[in-house]
Amino acid sequence: MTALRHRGFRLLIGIAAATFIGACQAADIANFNSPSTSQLENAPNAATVNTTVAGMLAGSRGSAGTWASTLGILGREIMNLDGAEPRNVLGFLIGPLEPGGFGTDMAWTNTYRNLRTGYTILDVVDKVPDYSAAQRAGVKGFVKTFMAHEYLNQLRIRDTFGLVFEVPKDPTKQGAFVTRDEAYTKIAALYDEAKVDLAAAGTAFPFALTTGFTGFNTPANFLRVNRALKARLEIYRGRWSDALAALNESFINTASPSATTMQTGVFHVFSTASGDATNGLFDPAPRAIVAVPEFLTEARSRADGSRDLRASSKAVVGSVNLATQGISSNVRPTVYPTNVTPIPIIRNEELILMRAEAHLGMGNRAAAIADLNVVRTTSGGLPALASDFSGDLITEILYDRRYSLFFEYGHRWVDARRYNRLGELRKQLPSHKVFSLVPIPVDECNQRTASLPKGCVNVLGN
Amino acid sequence: MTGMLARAGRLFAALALTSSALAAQTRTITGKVLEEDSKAPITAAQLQIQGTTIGTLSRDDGAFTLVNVPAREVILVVRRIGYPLTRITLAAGRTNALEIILKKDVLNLDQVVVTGQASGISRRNLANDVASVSGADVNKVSAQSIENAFQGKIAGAQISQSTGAPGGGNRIRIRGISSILGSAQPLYVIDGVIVSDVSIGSGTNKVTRASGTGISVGSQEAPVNRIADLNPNDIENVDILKGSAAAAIYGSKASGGVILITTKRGQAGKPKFSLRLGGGTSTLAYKNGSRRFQSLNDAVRVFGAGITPYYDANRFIDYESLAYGNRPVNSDASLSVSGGTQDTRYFVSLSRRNEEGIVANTFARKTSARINLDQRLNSRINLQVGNEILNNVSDRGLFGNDNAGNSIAYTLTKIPAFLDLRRRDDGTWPVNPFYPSNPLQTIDQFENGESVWRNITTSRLTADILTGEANTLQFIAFGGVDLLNQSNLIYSPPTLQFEPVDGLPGTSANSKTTNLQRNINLNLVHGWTPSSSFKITSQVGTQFEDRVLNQTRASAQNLLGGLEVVTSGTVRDIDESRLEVQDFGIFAQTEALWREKLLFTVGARADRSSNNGDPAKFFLFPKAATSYRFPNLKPGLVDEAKVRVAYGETGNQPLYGQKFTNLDLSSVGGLGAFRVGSVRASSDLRPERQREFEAGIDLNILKNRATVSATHFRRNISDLLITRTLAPTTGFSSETSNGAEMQVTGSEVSVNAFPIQTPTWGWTSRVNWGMNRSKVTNLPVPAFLLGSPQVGAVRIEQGKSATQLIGNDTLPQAGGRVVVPVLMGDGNPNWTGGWSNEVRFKRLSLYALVDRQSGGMLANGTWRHYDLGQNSRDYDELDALGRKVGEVRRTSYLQVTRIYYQDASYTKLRELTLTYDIPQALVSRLWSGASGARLALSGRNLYWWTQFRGGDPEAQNFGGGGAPDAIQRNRELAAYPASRSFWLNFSVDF
Repeated sequence: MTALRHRGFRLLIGIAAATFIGACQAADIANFNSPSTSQLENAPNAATVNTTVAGMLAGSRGSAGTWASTLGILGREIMNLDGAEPRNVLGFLIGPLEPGGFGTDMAWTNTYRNLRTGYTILDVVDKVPDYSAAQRAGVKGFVKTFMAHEYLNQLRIRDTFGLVFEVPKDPTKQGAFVTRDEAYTKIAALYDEAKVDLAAAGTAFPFALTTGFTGFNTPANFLRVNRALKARLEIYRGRWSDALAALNESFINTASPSATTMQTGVFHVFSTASGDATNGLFDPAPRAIVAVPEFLTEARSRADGSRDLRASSKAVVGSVNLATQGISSNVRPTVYPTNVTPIPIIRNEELILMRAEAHLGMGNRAAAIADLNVVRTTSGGLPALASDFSGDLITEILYDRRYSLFFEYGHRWVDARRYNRLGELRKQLPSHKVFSLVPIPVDECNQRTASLPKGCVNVLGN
Repeated sequence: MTGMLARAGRLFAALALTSSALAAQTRTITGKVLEEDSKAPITAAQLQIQGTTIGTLSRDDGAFTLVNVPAREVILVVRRIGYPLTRITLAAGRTNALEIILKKDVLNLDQVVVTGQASGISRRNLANDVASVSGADVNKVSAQSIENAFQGKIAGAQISQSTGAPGGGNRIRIRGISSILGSAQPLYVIDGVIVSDVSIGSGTNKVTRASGTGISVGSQEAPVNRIADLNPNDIENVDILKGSAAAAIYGSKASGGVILITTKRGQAGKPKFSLRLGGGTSTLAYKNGSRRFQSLNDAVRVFGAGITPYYDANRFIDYESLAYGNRPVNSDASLSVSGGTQDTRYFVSLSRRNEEGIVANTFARKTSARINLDQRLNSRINLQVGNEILNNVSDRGLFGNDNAGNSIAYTLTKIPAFLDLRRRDDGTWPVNPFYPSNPLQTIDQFENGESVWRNITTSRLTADILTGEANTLQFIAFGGVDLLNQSNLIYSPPTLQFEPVDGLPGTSANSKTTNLQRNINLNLVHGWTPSSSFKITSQVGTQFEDRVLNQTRASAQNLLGGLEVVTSGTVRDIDESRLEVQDFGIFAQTEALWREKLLFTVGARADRSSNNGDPAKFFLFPKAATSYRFPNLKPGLVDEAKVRVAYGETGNQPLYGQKFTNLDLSSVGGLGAFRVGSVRASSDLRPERQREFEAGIDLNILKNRATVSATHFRRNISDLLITRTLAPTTGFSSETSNGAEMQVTGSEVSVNAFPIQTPTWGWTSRVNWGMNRSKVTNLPVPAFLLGSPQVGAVRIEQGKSATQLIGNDTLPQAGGRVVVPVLMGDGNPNWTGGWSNEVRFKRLSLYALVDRQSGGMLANGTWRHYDLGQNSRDYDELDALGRKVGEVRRTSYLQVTRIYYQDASYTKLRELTLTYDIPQALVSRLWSGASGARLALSGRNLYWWTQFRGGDPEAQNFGGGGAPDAIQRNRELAAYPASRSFWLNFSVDF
């Protein structure tokens, strides 16, 4: 024990004690790499919520490529002949589509993540101290419009399998599946709620929007986008007069039509800045993405014998012939000529075509033909249809929608299903199949084994 | 006494033996320490009078002199590594010369094995199964990484090399799995200090897009787990604490087992040099072959009409030979020197290992320098320090999964043998018109540079506070710093064929990573010997550890002027991630040994970590063990037997960041954006807890010519962290929380035999065998999949093995056939085992190690891609129905995954060495200073027998660092191919 009195040992013990005491401070180390949701949920302020509104745009953009490419494959607009990922052919052209299969998720997960972000904003927006009442309404109107858009994005894929129309705040609870028609009703109501909010939102949004919203970045202008998106829903469910009503309040414009007016609309924008995203549909070589060869050959001819301008401006015969698993194409889409080319959310050309369809649905052929002619002469350079054209106008509308909206949102597949014309989609090989809808992803099915959603089945195709 | 100590304290580092005060009652003892039979002198044996600080070391001729030995009866303790600890009673007043004969401890029974943070017990009494691998065994055949040198040598450890690339990259699973999401890698401790085994991705993901478009994803970039940096030549011994019962002293970091590495230390005496020189080469071990197209029609069917001008029925290029045919010249050289006085000893070593790959332009060059110093500061205080500086430079090429058509092995699956992609005479490369890249050009131009600088400092201070005969008290402090800087430079020049594909020719990625790990560990060890037959050793201590990992990455595409610097690119990306963990633990244990027969240990550790939901909360990990030895049970047959039982608990911490629900950051068109993260955290995360019960028996048999050890263990793991998949409609993909339970049971057997030991002949044989089975005993969430059933998935399901593999199968059903996920097999092998034999005849010895894995399953991705490329060697063979077998596999695998799930059993000739001890006379004639020289011819992985079709049944696409690392190890895809390596070594001591 004498040793303990010793200076050397006392020094050692001192160091030991100091280290021990120093170490006794429990370290609460923060999350260095990301803010936490508690920041939004517990102490929301305008800056955080504004940034989260931009997150809705970022999230929604994350799915945009899927609509154009995957639905584009299902609807025989394009093919993905990536040699490194043969499941783009095996999964989407041959199938069957399986809940656990390649690509069946089709942004289901991302959609609901966006919706949770949206619901979280709606939850907290009234608690944000530095918003005015109008600003709150602006946030709600904008967010609800995008949430309705997100729901519709999925509904058009899952169709009669339906979807879940709610995201419970407590993630241990699950929302219930609703049928397609119930979902249409609820989504339409959400668009309408958003409209009310936007009308009360004053003259400016509190948050900034991207350049993809140029011309539509005030509550009043954005309300016209809300109506345009609502019209799309009404077209889908064939409620023609509601569609016309919504279109009338939208940004539809047939005055002095030009290529520029056709492009008016809202877009997902990309950038090469760090942390931002580039447009994944840009494939210049091409390495993977080609148009179906008949996209060029089935285009109508103009008066001078050349092809519909929409065909020749949106795809070219390239020097690379991609081939895999017995199919090939050398037709390269040029819709996205750079890696920052925006992807449309909705634009005037579609609105005019929707109005033509709604007019036809109401039995007003002349009005339908007038609208169709605006598009096909302006965008396609084709001769106008005679005002007393007596042929099948559905065929004409679908032709114009195919070429006007090529490789943008997977329109062709949805349109073919709406009019029971999936059989007209050309299969590249006899072993290929056309699918009418996509199963619910397996991650969803696995969590609902007690009452399995009806979409948890394989879709064999025809 | 007091006066002497006071002076010693003032002169902290001075020698303080002032003999005058004690001279009256002392004597001087001299003698020699010799080996039994040969009577060869034993140098550097430690001699100490028990209960005092009086001691010395034997000199080169074995002689020693002890002064100031008390005149009363004392006990002289003799210690020497490799020999049993020996106690000699010196009668009062005896002064005549001693001849101490030590018998070589070939069975290692007297080796001291760590059982506490700062204490150990001899293997003879050990109550746990602890495997040991000596430095000599580690260095039998030059290895990329020390884990390679462990393969086949540790019962119950599954060690698989993820990739054949130079530089290593292994995964160890000791006693099966212990975690679903967490890491299964063991904890590495060098000279008492925890060091890092981090795996850091290279950044090739920016080029391969194997997973998204981020710069690095780590797991799919075949990273090297950094324990590979260590220089195996510096290792004296390795102890592997396999189960929780032994590893409990490391608390919440020890669930994967603990690997304790002891480095060589200086031996007092004249400087002794040891030089090892090796040269070698390696060759490709397995070829996949490729399809021999029968006709142009066949080619057109695959590649379209465009193939016509390229088709040549007579051309068959063996691309694997072109890509993997590099004949490297490898070298491995090391030089060490050891020496010093009794108070100051040193060990210095330098080494350099240069390994080139079988793929041109790939290599790993490892250089290290170590200095270990032992300094006795005074009679009571001893300081040991060690410092190692390492530099590891490598280029591992571009391999593994990719989604951009440029991984070399992946691309080879898509190239028909008639297509000529060889470099033209003018130096240009043909463009591959049918795939985005020309792999030969990629090999030539792609750079995947990695450089690691690392400094590991360890220190240990021992102070004898009390040195009474009945009571001893020691203060032992360990501390160390492991600083690792890794730099990765990926350069994919614009001239590469695949580069302009995205419209942005040229990719460069520059990553810098710093990992800093510090720990300090303070212990008080009390020894109490109330009688000569009873000893109690108790200790208390604390451990503090801090770990910081910072990664900064920058990448650029569209490199203007083709410059490598990222500022030359027009499209840039930056990425930074940070991590910090602080842990603190307190432990105490008591070990009682009665008559060297009965051992009883109890102890506990309490741990706290900043990674837990509550960083202030301590989690307790207790342990208890007992063993009883029956010496001379049945001499000649069973010379000694020991039964042992042990129980212990360890933990596995949550990972950094798992306790937070992120608000993910991104940017959209220049606007900052927040999104609710996809993983929801549970706020009360706590460590996973393993409770392991282990029982075993150890026997020395046949006149101590063999030891047999058998162990059975059962481990119950609770609070397993699981990522519960949430219904995506909740807005979250998953939630991380504690909750699942699992049980792992297993057995291990090891036999060490020395049947023949004569001057002319020697035969040593070792067998080790291990098996384990896991079962998920409680899963509070629905069964979930890790991976996709089409290409390889594990399903975590209650009542089932945690490594069961699930794939799709097509089953008949009313009205047609239905594709359903079904059980394919189990990723965990039935058993693993190793058998080594060393036969010596005079100066020649032959050593061979055979390593076997029986069972286990691996999803064969390379073969699948040969089929998908319609390019597999047997594609055109016809099945019973007259269909091409490759065609059938290709078109049905999504529905019948079984095709590519293969038995991963193998038997490998891991190591083979033929050694010749050059006669001393010859050595001396050439160089009088040399004391011994050897010449050895050796090889690693020379041959393997396996039903697995493809390169290597050990290969893995998902390397270390990927979660879930522990379980999902059953997918192979386009790995750097495995090779056999050959070495010629010369070593000399002087």
